[in-house]
Amino acid sequence: MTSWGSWVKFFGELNIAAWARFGMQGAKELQLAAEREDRNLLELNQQISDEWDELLERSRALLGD
Amino acid sequence: MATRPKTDPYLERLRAIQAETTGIEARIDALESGYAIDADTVDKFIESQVSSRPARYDDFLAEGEIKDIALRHSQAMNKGVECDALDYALAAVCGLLSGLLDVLLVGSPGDGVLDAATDNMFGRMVKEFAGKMGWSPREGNEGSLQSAIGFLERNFKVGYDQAKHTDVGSVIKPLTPKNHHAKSAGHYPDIIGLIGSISNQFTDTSTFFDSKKGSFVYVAGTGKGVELKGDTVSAKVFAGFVNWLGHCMSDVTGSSGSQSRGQGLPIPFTEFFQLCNFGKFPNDEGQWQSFATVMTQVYEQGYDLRHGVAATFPVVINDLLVRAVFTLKRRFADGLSWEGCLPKGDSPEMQRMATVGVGAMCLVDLGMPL
Repeated sequence: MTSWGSWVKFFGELNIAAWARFGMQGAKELQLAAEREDRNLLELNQQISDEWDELLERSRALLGD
Repeated sequence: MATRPKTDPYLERLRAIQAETTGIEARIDALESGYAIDADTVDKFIESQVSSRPARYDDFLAEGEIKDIALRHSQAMNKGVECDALDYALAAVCGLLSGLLDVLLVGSPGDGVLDAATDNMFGRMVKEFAGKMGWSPREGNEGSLQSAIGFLERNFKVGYDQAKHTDVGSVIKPLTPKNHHAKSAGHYPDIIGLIGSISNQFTDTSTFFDSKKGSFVYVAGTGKGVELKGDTVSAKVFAGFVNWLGHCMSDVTGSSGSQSRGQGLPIPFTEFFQLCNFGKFPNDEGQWQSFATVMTQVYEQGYDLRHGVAATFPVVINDLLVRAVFTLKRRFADGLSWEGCLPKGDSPEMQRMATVGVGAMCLVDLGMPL
């Protein structure tokens, strides 16, 4: 395509298989990013819960002393 | 992290527990020392010592502990794909090479080396299918693709094969021999085409895509006497399926009367383009066209299933190259064992390299028409 008037030529020279693959990879990247975020948030939540439990144990240990 | 404008209910609860345990500790200490303290007095004293401001993390943790937690939080949230610069560079090079292959070997519909190869491949496939269906050509026509196509056209007739808008009462315009495969739902070699074809054969209708309105159009009473064989519904459905398949094979390399490579079948799932009645794309005469109209014209230029298959070769080569460099880089640059280098599909690094590779290929592909 040498001018913006020839959209048929522009789209006709694109590789539909490559762009479809790119779209699928993009969707997969978004899915993996969402899974990583979920995993990271769960890990963070677990860390906070562990800290909380540790604080409670220390409080109980004070009562036990 | 030191101050919070809002009250954190968890911290407030923690502070309350801390105050309670301090009070209890004080009473226990007093008992051990031999005297008793009134519980209410202790509670009131403790309450007066608790600050009225919202509880903060530094009420419970030292500054070093807070910094350590903040660091671990940041590392957890930013933990991502472990690809280094060499991984990205190698993937991009694979994409560039595949893009060059695409430019050199695929090109425009009907022009490239791969196009000629896939045209011949489909031609052989049609002749072989026709042979299995009972095609016995006259002497001299043994290798004739036109003869094979003619045989399939005669034996797998369908009622939704109208090629001109006058055949459908002008409800679809423009409908021409060059674009009727793209406009007819039953001509698509995918699940939607199969469902459309069988339903058309059962109901003696034709389903078309009206790209001007972006919707379906049903035309009735066009069976021309085509009847599904079979005594039961399931037998008729099977007959409809075979009819659809046979008719697709008769059309995949164009019609028997085609002068050149002919209009093959559209690429699967591109029927959705026919419904994209939006956009304003100017043509050479300055008239505005929708995206659906542009894509119909792209099909008319020869962008059919054969060209689509030719276009997949550089994509496959790109995937293979990316997987090969993934394995070789991890073996020779990272020193891993061969088992540890296998390009498993669920590896985030493998997926990232595949994305970069096909993205680079798309950039080269985009540069070609520009």
